[in-house]
Amino acid sequence: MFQKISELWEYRELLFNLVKRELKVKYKRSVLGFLWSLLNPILMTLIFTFVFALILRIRIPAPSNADVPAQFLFPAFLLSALLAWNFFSVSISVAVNSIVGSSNLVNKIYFPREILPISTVLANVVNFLLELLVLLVFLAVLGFKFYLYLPFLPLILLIHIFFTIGVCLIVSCLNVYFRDVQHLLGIILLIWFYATPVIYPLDLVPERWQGLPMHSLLKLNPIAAIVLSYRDILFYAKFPEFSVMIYATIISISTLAFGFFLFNLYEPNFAEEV
Amino acid sequence: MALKFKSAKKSLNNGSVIEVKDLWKKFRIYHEKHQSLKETFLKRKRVSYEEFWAVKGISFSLSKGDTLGIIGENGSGKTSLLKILAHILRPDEGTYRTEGKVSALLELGAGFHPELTGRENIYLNGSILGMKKSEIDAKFTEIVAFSGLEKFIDNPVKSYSSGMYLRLGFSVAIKVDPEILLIDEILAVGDESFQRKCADKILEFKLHGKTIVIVSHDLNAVRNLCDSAIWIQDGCIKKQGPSEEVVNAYLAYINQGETASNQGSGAENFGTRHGTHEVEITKVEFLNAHSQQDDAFQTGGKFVARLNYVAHQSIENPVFGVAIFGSEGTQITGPNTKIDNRVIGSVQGKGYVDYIIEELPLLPGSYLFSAAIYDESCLHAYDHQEKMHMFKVKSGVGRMPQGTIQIPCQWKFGDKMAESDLKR
Repeated sequence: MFQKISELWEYRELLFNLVKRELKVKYKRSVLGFLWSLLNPILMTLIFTFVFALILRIRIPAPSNADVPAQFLFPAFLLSALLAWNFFSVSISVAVNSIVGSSNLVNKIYFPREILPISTVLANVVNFLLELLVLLVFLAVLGFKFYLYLPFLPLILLIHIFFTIGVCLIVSCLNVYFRDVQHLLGIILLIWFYATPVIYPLDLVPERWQGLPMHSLLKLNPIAAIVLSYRDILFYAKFPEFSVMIYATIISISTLAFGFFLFNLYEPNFAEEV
Repeated sequence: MALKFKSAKKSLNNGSVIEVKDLWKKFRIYHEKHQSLKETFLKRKRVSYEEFWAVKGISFSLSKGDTLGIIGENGSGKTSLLKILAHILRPDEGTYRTEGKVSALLELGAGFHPELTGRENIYLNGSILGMKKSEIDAKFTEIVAFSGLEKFIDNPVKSYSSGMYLRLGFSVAIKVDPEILLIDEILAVGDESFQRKCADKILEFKLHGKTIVIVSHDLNAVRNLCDSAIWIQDGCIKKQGPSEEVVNAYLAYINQGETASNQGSGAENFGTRHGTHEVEITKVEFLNAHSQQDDAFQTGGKFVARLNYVAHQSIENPVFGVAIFGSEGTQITGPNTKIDNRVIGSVQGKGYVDYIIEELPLLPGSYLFSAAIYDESCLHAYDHQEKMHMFKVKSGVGRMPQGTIQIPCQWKFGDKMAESDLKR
């Protein structure tokens, strides 16, 4: 494990360059460049606000410590979790192909293969941070007091990144052996999205449903724990539930460790399988 | 732990930088490649595949500064072996150790992204090959100059022609500074001048004491660049030793195969010709002791092969070489002016070079003759006429021994026959 980490460290420049490549290629030859990646969350917010706030009349109670115009409550509520979810889901759907799609590299050159999915995640981190920055400006203008607990945001981000890398390592590795992982993933992510309280507040979910403890079940979803922590800090300006944080940390680190383990186990055969 | 590691390193230090012991590598050839979860989980039946051993128990070791050529037919396991050394494939059995930084040039321009500019791709490709940014910064101007793409360096590489693409890839690749260099067949791409650049660069690596392993079908390059060679056949080492010997053995094997497949056609195989023709061999004449053209010679008599050439431009120090083959295709000799330390200087226009044997040691029979002109490094052929000429040796006076060559010798009898002394 330590050997692997030190090897990854040795290849940090390659990692850095691949991240750069991914970002550059993404915005090359487009006039709006980075603005395109803002367009997606904005559009999603408009649609979800229209459907859920206007038609279905979901009312989001304003956080006690902020005085915010009512019509902006739902968009702010949504975005404080949606961006985090998007980072997770986009990273995975790109990373699943990172090994298979780079067969020309995997076949011809040695480097730690982990670099491929990790660079995808890191490129998306950069995107996510930029989006987050825009969101913070938006929230500040509206009068949210997110700065109270902002120093804890990097911690959540770290847990979030660990979990995402862990999942990406697993799916990119499995996809080498079973190409339908990439197709399956679209469906799984759709279910996972609705199983995570991004567009609805947890309070709307009945505590018990058909004898199932729904709240506890939803909180078992590690990405829900992470996404809710973002919302606690950004929207509610309160410290996330401590037990939830601990749970998310443990799950993230175990997922990352398992991801590395699985990846390491199968990595030596990648060159012949892709 | 630390001690153990140290001792392992020490044992490696003592001579060899690459040590390969009994390496085995198998591949699975799927009859029908199943790559879906459903088939794997629902059908409990195992996917049917055949195992194919690409590398079967190969061992060798190389000392620092050695240049090894790996030759063999397609699919013999050469590239698999190289990929194992490059850590790309994992062997199924056996061990291998390499000391120092290893760079594998298996593909030029690996990781180039078409949308990025030449400049950006140099950095990307450089880091894929294991170079540090500071290193690339320092060598950047040289890389661009070597590629000759100064004007296009800020254009996306998708606008490059395939030749430009290759040139850029190569210019980056040769700037890696490894202790061990693994090269797969990149000598075979590009035009002649590109190939020559390639060969020169490899020669330079060699002069700097780097350890090089080359997989190549260019037997001439292997002969000239490599100290030793390995001929791999069906995953096993068929022959191992000085490159000259191994290449000749391999050639003999191939020729044998060709003669076998040519049998029935009956026609005389009049060789092949290749080269860039800046200077050409216009005619090969065989002259006897009286400087008269002849095609039959006598054992022990004078033999002169006159290579008439015409140089269309001024050529600096070309190397003239010939080779004589027996009727079975076995090479008997193959000298050139470089081996014999004769420097001709620059040539232009018409001229000739004589290859003179005062006392021809060949025994009666038919012989094939090759003539060639190479550049100074002996890697680039201007004109290579392989087995395109023929001469005969006819029986001389007295009885001749059997075979192809007469080797001066003496006989001596021991003195155990005391009664009748046979000594003359």
